[in-house]
Amino acid sequence: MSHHLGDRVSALADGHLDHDERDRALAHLARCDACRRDVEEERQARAVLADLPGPVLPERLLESLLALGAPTGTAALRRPPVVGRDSLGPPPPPRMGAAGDRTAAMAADRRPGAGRPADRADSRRPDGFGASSGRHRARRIRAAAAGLVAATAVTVGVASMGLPDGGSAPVAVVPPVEQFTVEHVRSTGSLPFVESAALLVPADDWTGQR
Amino acid sequence: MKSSPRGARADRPDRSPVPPAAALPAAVLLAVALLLVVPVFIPAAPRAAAADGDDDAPAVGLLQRSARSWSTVSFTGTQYLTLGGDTGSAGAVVEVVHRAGSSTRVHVLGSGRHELPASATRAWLAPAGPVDLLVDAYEIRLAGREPVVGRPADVVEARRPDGTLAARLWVDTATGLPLRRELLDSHGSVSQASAFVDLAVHGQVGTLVAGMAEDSRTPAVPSGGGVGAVAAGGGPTLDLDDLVALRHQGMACPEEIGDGLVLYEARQVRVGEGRSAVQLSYSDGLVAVSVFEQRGRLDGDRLEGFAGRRVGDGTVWTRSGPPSWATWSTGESVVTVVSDDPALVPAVVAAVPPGDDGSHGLLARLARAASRVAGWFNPYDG
Repeated sequence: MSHHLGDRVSALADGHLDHDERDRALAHLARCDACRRDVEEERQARAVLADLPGPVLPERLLESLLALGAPTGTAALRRPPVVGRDSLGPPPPPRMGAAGDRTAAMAADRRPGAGRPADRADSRRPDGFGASSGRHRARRIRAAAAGLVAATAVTVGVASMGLPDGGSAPVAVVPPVEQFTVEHVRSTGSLPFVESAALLVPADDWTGQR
Repeated sequence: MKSSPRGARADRPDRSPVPPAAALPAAVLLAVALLLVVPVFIPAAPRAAAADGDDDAPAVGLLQRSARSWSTVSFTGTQYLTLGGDTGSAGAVVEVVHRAGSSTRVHVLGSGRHELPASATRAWLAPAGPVDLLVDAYEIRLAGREPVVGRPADVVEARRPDGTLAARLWVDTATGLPLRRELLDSHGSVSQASAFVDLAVHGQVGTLVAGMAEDSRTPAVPSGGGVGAVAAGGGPTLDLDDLVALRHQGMACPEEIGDGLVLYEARQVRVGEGRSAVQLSYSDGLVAVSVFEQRGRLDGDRLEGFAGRRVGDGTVWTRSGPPSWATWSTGESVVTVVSDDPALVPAVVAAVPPGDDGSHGLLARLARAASRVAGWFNPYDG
């Protein structure tokens, strides 16, 4: 048995050893349970510290995903627009960078006179007509509009019943992650220069699904 | 970098007829334009040539020999595998027993034993072989010699199109076995490394015979499988016609992910009583990602260890690795990604974007109904 790793445990766990030192350390590690435990504890300690707030999304992955969610992102470009989604769907969640837009919209709403009922009424009333005939005309327009809205709602409701998922609820899926991990490792068998990271998944997780 | 097959497909000849009388002035204009434009690009020409330049032929030859070594060399050894990750490094020491042309038995010390079967050669879907994936995606160069585990080894470097180093491979001079491997991220940090710390070569099949049996366009780890063969524990393989049929049924099954991750294998995986998923395997020769598609709607509430983030119209659920996992709903399918490199996940999200999470809720149903009604009155909606 050669000398134990000692101070080199931390350097090894942090990846600070050069090639030769690392190979020697790992060669020792392959045969020394005590040092292997030490290195594993170091790595676990780092992983626990890094995971303290819970599952941590890697920063670069998070940035990339958020960028994908942006309106000008690749995902947005590739997805066809859905008619009516913006008006009928739930409001979009707060997004980084959208705060400024919302602030600007709120500021616009606070402009003097903006959005007041009187203004909206004025905009609907044509100039040059008497007050009485204008009221009748407005009433007829409102009635016609209400009828149109009701007819549209009924039509949409009827149409929605014929959609493919109308009667049967889709199957709720919880992906078998461990099984998929095993399959992933298996698929890398034909790639001579790929070492799957999934090899580091504990074997108990693998055998539990097989 | 070599031109990709995708680029080759884009080079379609223009067959629009051009009258000779109109063609002459056009040719003159084109010549004048070229005279004006070409000098502007002359200084950039050498750099472009370097980016598209020929790979180092000896280095490519080494990689091809190295890929064949799995079918020609039997060995036992001890390997380590480490990952630099966002949650700290992780690693394992692995005992490997490999018989030439057969499966590889792996014993992860402190964990358990696994058998990695060699894949069925004829199940390979990519237009190029495993070495070609690497050569197509990266610029390959020979970078000298350096011993590993006491054995002389040739060092091969793989560089990205932007010139940054993506990988270093140490190839055993005597047998061609890959002895050490380092992957580097775009910042130059080692993201994954593996190397033999102990190796005993037990025998070597004649390389001439092996070379006759394989060429660089076939996978390097053959077995007795074939089309429709079931690898140990795996499901039946799918061919390109199967994938076309699946696309007609609403599944995405992309042929490529991002820039250079090519579909090389597809398989049907049983995930429960009477239910199955499609496994699509992608690689650029250095890293691999598996994409699973299955019918249904993701039940995010029952996912363990995942964190959800809104992306576009849906939610992408991710779990830190290694490996990295991500899953989301799209259309009437659930997509699950298992990736050796977390940086690959966004590329999959871009290729198969998440759909509306509430696609089965009342509002979404009414939205689709409104869209349908609008379509009734749209004379251009065929």
